[in-house]
Amino acid sequence: MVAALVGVIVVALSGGDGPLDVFDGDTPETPAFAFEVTKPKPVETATDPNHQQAVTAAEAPADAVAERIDDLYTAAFLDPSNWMEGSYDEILDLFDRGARDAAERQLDVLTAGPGAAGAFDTITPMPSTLKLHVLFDPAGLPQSVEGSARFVAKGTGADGLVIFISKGQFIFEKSDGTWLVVSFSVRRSDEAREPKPASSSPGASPQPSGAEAS
Amino acid sequence: MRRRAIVLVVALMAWVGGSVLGSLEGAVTAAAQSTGVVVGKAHAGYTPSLTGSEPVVILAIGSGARPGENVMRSLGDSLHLIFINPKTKRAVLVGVPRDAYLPIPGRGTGKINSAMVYGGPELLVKTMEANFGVTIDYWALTTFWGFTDMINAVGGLTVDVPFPMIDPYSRTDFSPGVQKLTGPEALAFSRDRHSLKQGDFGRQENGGRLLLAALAQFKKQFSVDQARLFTWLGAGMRNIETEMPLSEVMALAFTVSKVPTTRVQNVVLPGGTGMAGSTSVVTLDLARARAIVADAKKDAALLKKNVPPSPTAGE
Repeated sequence: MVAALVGVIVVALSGGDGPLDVFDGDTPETPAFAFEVTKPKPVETATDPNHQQAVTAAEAPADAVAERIDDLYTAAFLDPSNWMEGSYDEILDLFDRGARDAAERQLDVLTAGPGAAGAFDTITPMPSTLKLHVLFDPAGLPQSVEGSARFVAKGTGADGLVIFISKGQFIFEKSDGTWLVVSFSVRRSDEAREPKPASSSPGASPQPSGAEAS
Repeated sequence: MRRRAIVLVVALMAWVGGSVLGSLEGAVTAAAQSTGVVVGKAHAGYTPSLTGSEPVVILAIGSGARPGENVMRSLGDSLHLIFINPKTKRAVLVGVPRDAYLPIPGRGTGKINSAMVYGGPELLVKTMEANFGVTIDYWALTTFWGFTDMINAVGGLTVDVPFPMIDPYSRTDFSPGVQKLTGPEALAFSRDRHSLKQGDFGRQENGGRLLLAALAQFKKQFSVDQARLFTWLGAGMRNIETEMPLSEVMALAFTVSKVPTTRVQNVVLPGGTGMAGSTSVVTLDLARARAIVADAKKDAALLKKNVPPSPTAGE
């Protein structure tokens, strides 16, 4: 009786088409990713700044923010447990106050999207760059960090591939000891490419499909 | 009353904020695949803002100090009351003629620009508050050299010079039209009164034109590159002594970044000229001046009846 009930539940949950992923323990691993970071630039506001000191002092906050932006894009595009579920709430913890609410409303632009699982089998990172500016207050303490990221990744699926291109600017401020996004601007210019025909001729190149692609 | 020292840069920064990001929030401008995956161009963004529907009031002071002089105890060369409404994203620039002859608390009656000589920016604020019935939240002060350094640091200012200006005293030599001004040229544009029929009144209006130009330029730059906020903040703050925390300056800058230039009114308190003894002075129409300030303080938007004629309309 119990065994039959369990069997019914399993079949119901699996839709009758086979075992659920949750049972196969086969969720792909998150690919390793880190931006290529250029040397951070300090911006001083003191009337008589010590630039060399600021250059050195910029490193720690810049490293901390770079790590946050790595985490953001990893969670937004690369972590299969997020994009396969179409759930990206994890990234919201990186945003502060109003920025968090705005990010929640704009997750479709900030992430691989809610339907990524239906479109892709894999999403893998490509070389991506990050530039950082650290703003110091007149006392020489880091006040804010601005990060300009160019993130590129490749999503592949049965219908072809998409090159994700996200250019994001994020201004971070420290809140309770943690660097959080207070302002952001993210522009996406993804490119969709048709799958190569099975008998594609040599030299055939992918076709950018742009906004009209479906 | 909060009184914090900031430099004109702060006000400029405040003015030069600007971004269209808010209006684009969530906009996906190209097609999305049926799967919900964005393909094409899309934009997301957010810029924070101060809260509250009460306008923030800033007194922007251009000190007339020369190098070596005490900038806090020199004549106020350029005076603007700036009203910013965070809620409605509107603002009013009110130019105050520096030669306005008014009671100065504890100092009898004199030109308003002398209040700073007697008691620093604090007395100038008190004088403004006593005469115009307004509470000022912040004051901001810059010098000639601080002003020029600041303008140079942001790459100059693009200004629409409204009429020919030639004045050997302030060193203006401008033909009308849109042009990029260096720091010294912008300073000359803001100081020239000899080539203007309405003298000090026209000069204050030109000071407002510079603030508007700075706002437009900052908005344009910030909308394409948020890192420019740091450039403007650094350029401004480096030239000043300030008690205002940078975090508050940033909040103000973010706020004004959302104020469209088309929703900023630039006016000058009306009046005429006269003599006080042997000194040439400006006699304000105080009733109208108070009505203008009260209207600006209400919601940072002047009713049509309170908008005085432009002092440079006849140039």
